[in-house]
Amino acid sequence: MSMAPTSTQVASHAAHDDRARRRRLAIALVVLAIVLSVAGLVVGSQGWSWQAFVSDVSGPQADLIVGQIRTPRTLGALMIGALLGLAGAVAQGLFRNPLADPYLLGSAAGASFAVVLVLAASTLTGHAISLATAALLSRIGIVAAAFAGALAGVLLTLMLARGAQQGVRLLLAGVVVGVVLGAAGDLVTTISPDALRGKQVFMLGSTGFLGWGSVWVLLAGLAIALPITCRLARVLDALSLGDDTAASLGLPLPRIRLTLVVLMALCTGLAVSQSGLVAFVGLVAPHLVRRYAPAPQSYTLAASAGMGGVLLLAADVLARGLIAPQELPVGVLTAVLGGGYLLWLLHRRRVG
Amino acid sequence: MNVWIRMLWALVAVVTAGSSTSAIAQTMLRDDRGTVHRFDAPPQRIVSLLPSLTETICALGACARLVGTDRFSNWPASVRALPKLGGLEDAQVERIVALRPDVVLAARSARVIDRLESLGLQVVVVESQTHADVKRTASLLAQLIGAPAEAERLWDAIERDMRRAAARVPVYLRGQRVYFEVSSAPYAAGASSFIGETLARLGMGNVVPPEMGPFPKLNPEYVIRAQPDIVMAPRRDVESMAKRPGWQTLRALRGRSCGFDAERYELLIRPGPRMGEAALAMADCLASMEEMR
Amino acid sequence: MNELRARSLRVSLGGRLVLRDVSCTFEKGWTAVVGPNGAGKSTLLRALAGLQPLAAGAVCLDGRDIAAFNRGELARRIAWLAQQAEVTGELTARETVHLGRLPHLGLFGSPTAADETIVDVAMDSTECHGWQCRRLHELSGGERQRVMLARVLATQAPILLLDEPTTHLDPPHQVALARLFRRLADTHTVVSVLHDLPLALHADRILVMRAGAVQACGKYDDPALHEALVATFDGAVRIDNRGARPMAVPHLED
Repeated sequence: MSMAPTSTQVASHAAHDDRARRRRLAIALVVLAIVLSVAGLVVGSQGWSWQAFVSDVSGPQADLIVGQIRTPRTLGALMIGALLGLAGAVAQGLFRNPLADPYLLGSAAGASFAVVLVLAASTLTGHAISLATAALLSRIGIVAAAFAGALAGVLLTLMLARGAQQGVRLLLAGVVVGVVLGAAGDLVTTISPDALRGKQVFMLGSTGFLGWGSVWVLLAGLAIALPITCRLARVLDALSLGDDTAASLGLPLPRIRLTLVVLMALCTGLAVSQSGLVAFVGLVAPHLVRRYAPAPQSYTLAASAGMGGVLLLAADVLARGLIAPQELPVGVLTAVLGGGYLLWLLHRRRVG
Repeated sequence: MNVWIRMLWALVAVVTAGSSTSAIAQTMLRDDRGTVHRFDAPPQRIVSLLPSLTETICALGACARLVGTDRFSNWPASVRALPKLGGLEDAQVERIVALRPDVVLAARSARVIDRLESLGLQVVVVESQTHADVKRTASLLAQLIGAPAEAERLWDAIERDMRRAAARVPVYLRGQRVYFEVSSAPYAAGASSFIGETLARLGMGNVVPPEMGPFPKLNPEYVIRAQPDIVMAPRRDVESMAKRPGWQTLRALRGRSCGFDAERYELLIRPGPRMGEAALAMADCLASMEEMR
Repeated sequence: MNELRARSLRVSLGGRLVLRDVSCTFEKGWTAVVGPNGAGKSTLLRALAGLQPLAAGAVCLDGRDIAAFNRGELARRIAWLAQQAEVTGELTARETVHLGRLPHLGLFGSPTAADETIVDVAMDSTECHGWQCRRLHELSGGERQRVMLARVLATQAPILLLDEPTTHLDPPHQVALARLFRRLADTHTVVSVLHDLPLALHADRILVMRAGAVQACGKYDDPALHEALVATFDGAVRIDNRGARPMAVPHLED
């Protein structure tokens, strides 16, 4: 056994460095989450003003403004970001593709198609669907429609790919479903311009109307999805060595892949039904984690959730604060923040 | 010498008569891009790529000259039978050219303008965002079709409707602040938008001041703080507004809200010749509101 | 005990018959599988590991069809090393070797000190301790191969199916590995696909394949095997029997 002492020292140094980075990232995410949450309570339609906040909190509308509007909106943004970050990390691990995002398997296409159907229900009567169906569709809220649509989109993908056996087939099926449902949605919007307007709002994404009801639903979803997904972290690690190697280690791949796909669908469906299609969070959060603190999936999954939450919350606070009382679309800010930070990290790595 | 003078006068008369006929025959327009268009004769085949321009052409009495419209033009009913040539982003160039139009009417933001012009078509670009725009558009298009007097007639009709609408608004509602929601992001119609102008003509106020622009995307908090007296929005949105967090405190949602169905809503958000009708629709809704004691 | 038997295996890939009625038995000891490119050696190993759907035939472990085995149990009995490491992700070398404990820990088991020791021993066997904290994708081909081999050893499976385990290694490490296989052959069933004929002849048994069929299967000093070897490689190699052990020598002179 030949082992140069210096290489052991280097090895243990590297390990220590790795652990330190993970710790630092975890602490940073927690601190950021707290700071941004406070900011989320302070920033409102009057922008960054501290005096406005003080008068809000001591005024007669304190419970309404801070309690019923800002608090659930802040918490909601944090949790939606967490769900998207988690789903994105799972997607990238499952398909071993750094460009994968949670909307890959038809969830986004299914959700927007369902939303368009509901919005166009009244116009479609007489064109394609019966009065009874139209009335039913009108009663279903946008939220329920988006959630059901997301799950249905993924189900369609699974059926098309005949189960979750092969990653590539699943991806292709997801693309097909996305294109087909997108086209179907476009067809419906040509008949009903009313639906077109609603669809555009949905596609941009918005955290504006998150209330306490949304917060409880999101919390329940996160409480279920996060532990289960982290339990399956080892599978994603094994998958990174190749499908066959993972299978040779005794893992029931089709069943586990199916479980992960379902988890992804749930997370994405929940997020999308509450806030519309917020872009980029699911794609970029795992990258940010990996760039700073590469780690096995048991860490990366949870950290991606945290990073996603922080990213979306920061975007939401900025969206509210920059041009108050007007708001920027939150999807634009997630792209700027996430993309900008990623570019900076890449630059630093090349220089350093 | 009398003969020569008479002949001179005759010559002058002929020349001036000739030039005035050619003045009538050759129309010269400057569109909203600043481009000058020359038409030897009023165009007989018109393609319109914007619903409000379609409506204006028809309101000016030249509906028969339309040979094609964009897919969103749906008024008047006769227009629905015309070939549909796509939307703002995806106008079908081939079909437009195949219709051999004398002129194409488009909005400033249409991507297809350069392409059509390079194929030799005349594209008249018209912007239609404010009341003043509508008036100007009407007169421009009236000049185009060779019936300049129609523009004034149309504008008079719009003005008449506006005045009637203003008269219909109950006294106890005058001056009350309206929140007009255009879409549920929420985007509101501010005082500087044409909807805001209409509301002003009706004697109503607006929770969104002119400095915030025509269609700002608002923080929902702003609306709650502003406590509008009256809410106007698409019917579906009005029905779900109370479910938004904190919006149940809006007093206006209890009896002071106007929820417009899809058709009527489209009428309201199109800055075109039916503006008067739009004002009447708003006034009707306001008139149905009871006085609060 | 730990006998892997292939019975008339037939595998078809993309319309092409890759394995034709392949039958052979692998017992304790080191078997080298050799043959020209495209002979079906990798496919055979995958079939033995239960990773390849079969058009006909069966693979039996101790008399039982492997398809009847519980997946976890199979993973504890048979370990498979891929030909090329298609690696993504951010795992370090040590974390990779740790994955070798999956068949024993399952999805939810927590690693114990015993598992850590096993990982250490495995890494020592292939001498890859030096870069245990470096990420897999930062390592060279040879370094990575030794890590993957350590992963296979960490499973402690009695049957090792290794697809070209020495391709990227330099001669000293090839020799070290051959010595390792010799040691393991006392207690394990080691089946390795090898391109290096001289190295292969150090095994106990040799399986010669060509065009999806078995040409010969026998002990390293079997003259019939030697004939089959020379024939399969079209005379590019000759067997030198003068030393203590037969040696395969490239045949350049005519």
